[in-house]
Amino acid sequence: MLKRIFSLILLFQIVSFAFAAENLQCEWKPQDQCAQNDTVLHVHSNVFNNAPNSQPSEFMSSHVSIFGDSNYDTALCCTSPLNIVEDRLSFYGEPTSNNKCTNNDQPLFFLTNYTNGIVALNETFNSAIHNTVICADLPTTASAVRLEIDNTSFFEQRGYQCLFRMSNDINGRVSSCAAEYSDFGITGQYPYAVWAQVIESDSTLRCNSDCTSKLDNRVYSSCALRIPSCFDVPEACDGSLYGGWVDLPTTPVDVYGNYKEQINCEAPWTETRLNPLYIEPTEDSSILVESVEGECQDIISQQYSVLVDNIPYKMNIYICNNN
Amino acid sequence: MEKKAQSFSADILVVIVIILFGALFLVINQISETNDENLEQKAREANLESKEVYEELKVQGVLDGQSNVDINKLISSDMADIKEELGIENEFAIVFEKDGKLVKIDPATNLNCKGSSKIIVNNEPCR
Repeated sequence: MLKRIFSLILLFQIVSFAFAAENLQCEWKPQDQCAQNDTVLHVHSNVFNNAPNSQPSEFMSSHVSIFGDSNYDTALCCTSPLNIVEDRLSFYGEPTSNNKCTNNDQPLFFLTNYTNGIVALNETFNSAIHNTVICADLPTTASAVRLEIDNTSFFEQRGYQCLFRMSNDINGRVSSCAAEYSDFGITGQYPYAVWAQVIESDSTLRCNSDCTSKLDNRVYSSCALRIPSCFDVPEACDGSLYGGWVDLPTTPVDVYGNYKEQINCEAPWTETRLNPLYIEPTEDSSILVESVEGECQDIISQQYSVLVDNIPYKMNIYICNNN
Repeated sequence: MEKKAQSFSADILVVIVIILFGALFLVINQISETNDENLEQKAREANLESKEVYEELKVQGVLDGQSNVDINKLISSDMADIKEELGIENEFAIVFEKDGKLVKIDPATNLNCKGSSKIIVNNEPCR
């Protein structure tokens, strides 16, 4: 009997630790109430207060040593495993186009200034206005944090945690994920969110040998943390089904937003094809139909509405009439 | 007497001219009606043939019941076979457009249209 009780307690502890390892433990508090070892994301004023007619938070800052400013009276206090983020984040002042971070760190976000700025994405760097960079050492060692910006619940459904919300995907003001306001909805004001997934080991994803996760049977490049053969899984395949074709965001985009190339998300992870929907830019893409000289007395067309990959198009059947 | 005869012949001339104009009008009108009928007839026949092609594309699996197009099947289809299968006389070609602009069926091979090479779309013969 005692043995059974002991086993149950042990099982409970294991389950508790497993859940704790997969969730970001964060809580909004007055900034001086975070624990000493917490990672601290400071937020301007009234998100915490939730006062009537309060204005949205202007800016997310991070870490006391840089953003210890009286303007920030609310903090997002995060205990482990978000500490992993802190370990791998650094701030770089006066960046230039060629020199944004130290060592091999990757620039994540650009800030317009230290105390009341706005964040911008990696690709939108402008040295004239962005004087600070949040850099990250990701994911070269045994632990990593994956960050994504999106305005859907795609990443939430895949176990990501919301770090903060933004009013715009490339240059937005920032607010907390859970902030509520009396006169307008948070999701309307801040449609984009920065989503984070902490990868401490493959235990988070529970990777199969083919680089898919046991959680959802989808492909994850982070499986390389434990399975070396997954080192060349393209990031574009993250979250796709094994063997599926996904767009390659590094290729050109046509006027309808279709990427030029797609990659096959299965080993050896190198097979690409042209996106069937991609339209090569031409100088004149209006339609000129004619016949080889003397072959058609009249060309008569009939138009049908069709779908290609759920996108509506017009399909014209041209008849070369010689009767 | 002579004046009366002159007046009579002038009247006849006017009548003849009027009759000639009338006859000319009737002939032109008849030709125009025949042309219109021919054009309508051609359009009817062409529309009938295009419907046959559309239905055959469904049979071949290029189109499904919800008008979804399988582009890969379309690319690999042989339009000459479809023409022979249907027994239609006229050549035909299939072209896709969106918002009035040409959509290439296969950008990799610069395929503007699928069908008879006698039809040319944006300077590219159909294949």
